[in-house]
Amino acid sequence: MADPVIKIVHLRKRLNGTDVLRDISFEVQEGEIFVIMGPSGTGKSVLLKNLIGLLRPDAGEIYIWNEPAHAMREEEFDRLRLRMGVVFQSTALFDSLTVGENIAFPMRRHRQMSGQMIRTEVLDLLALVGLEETVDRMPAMLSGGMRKRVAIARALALDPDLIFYDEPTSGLDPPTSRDVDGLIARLGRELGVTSVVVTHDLATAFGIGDRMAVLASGEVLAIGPPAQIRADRRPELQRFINPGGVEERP
Amino acid sequence: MPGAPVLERVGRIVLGLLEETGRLVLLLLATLRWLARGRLEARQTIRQMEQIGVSSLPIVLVTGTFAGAVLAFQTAKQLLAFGVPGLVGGLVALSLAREAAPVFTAVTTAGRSGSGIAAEIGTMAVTEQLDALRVMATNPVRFLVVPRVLAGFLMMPLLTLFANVAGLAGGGIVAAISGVPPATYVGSVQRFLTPGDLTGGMAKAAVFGLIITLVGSRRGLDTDGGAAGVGRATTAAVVTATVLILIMNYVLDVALF
Repeated sequence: MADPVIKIVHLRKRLNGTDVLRDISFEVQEGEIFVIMGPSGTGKSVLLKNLIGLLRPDAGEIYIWNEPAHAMREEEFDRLRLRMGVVFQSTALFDSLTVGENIAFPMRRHRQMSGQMIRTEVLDLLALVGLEETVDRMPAMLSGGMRKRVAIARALALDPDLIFYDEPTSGLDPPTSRDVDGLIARLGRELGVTSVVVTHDLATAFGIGDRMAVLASGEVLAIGPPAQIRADRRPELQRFINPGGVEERP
Repeated sequence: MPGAPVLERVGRIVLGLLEETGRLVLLLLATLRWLARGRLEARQTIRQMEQIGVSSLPIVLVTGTFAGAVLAFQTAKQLLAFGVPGLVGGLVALSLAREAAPVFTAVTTAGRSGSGIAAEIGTMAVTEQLDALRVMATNPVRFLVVPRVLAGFLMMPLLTLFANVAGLAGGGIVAAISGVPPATYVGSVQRFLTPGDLTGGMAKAAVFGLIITLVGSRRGLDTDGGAAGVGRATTAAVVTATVLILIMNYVLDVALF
């Protein structure tokens, strides 16, 4: 088996006097869509911030492409970040830039490309997410679902090997959420990129995840493929994945 | 003890100012590190020079004109009573060059640009745009703070120079209305005002430019708590910068003049 893209070993993180992450260990394999899920306040976002270097662990280790991310200084971490894309919960699009300029931003900073080449790349990425016509619009003029798609296009700008999605469907209506799920799954398949999706949306988790880790109180409650998670009859797990006692959609 | 709460409050204010100064020094060092490496964001810096400098010019000219006017009004009133109109221009020019032009310009810029910097960076902080910069391997200090600090440092002396010119003109008009002949006013300015007065005031302005942009950036970077947090950061940026400008004005006066 190939080396994991991400390997987390006994990760701990304390914030404001609370143990947010107590003892997290798991691996993410190349090319898979790995979902980190759990109810709100279980430390999912803190875990994600540790993985992308916005927070540093208090104890434990994080290896990304076998490199010790937990021990890297900010500028060393930037080397890893150039191979990553991140889609933020709020999209985090730069509101002073147009859609096209947002997507071009990482290319302008980190690639030696002409203006024309960047424009072509931007339009290709927008075509990939079905939004070519928005290239010259401001992010504020777009709907929530469109902004998510633009954020995904920006995350793909440097042709990353690994993409993180933070609550990609939060704030979206159910049909738009399923569209975004479909886009994440399609990009994973077509581009062969490894995806880590943080969500509390069960439809997203079971709909697109190849494997998932369920967090509860800062610990991994269960880990495995969706069918295995669904078959786990432990009450603390069923309370979250099947709150109404009704089976999730297959 | 009735005095204790007052003492406690004063102590807290002093500690707060010291803490703020410490944070600003750290941000200044981080800014200088990027500058020393020669990693300059030219486009961003020019944009900020336009924002902090060119766009502030109209309000600085208005402030400078009326600062000069009020100085001329008061000095002319007193000195004409003693029959020495030949001192009016000199007093206006010296007061403007050393104090009024740099301080008024700085306070105006703190209100206009310092608050704008805190609001812009603060909004980026609460909408995850700063996090987005970092994950796109772009250091926020390098990309956002260095251009603003550099622009403030370079543009404030120039704004102050314009405020001096506007103030002398405004003072001249009011002096003439008060009965000081224009030739006497101009002659007095030439006799009393030395290049050292002007450059000293401009040097102070450069330091004030650093304070305004560093305070605005610092407050912006540390913003949390949504729209209310941005509001708090903006207010704090103006208040803190104004207090530090006035304190630093005294220190620099003692050192320079």
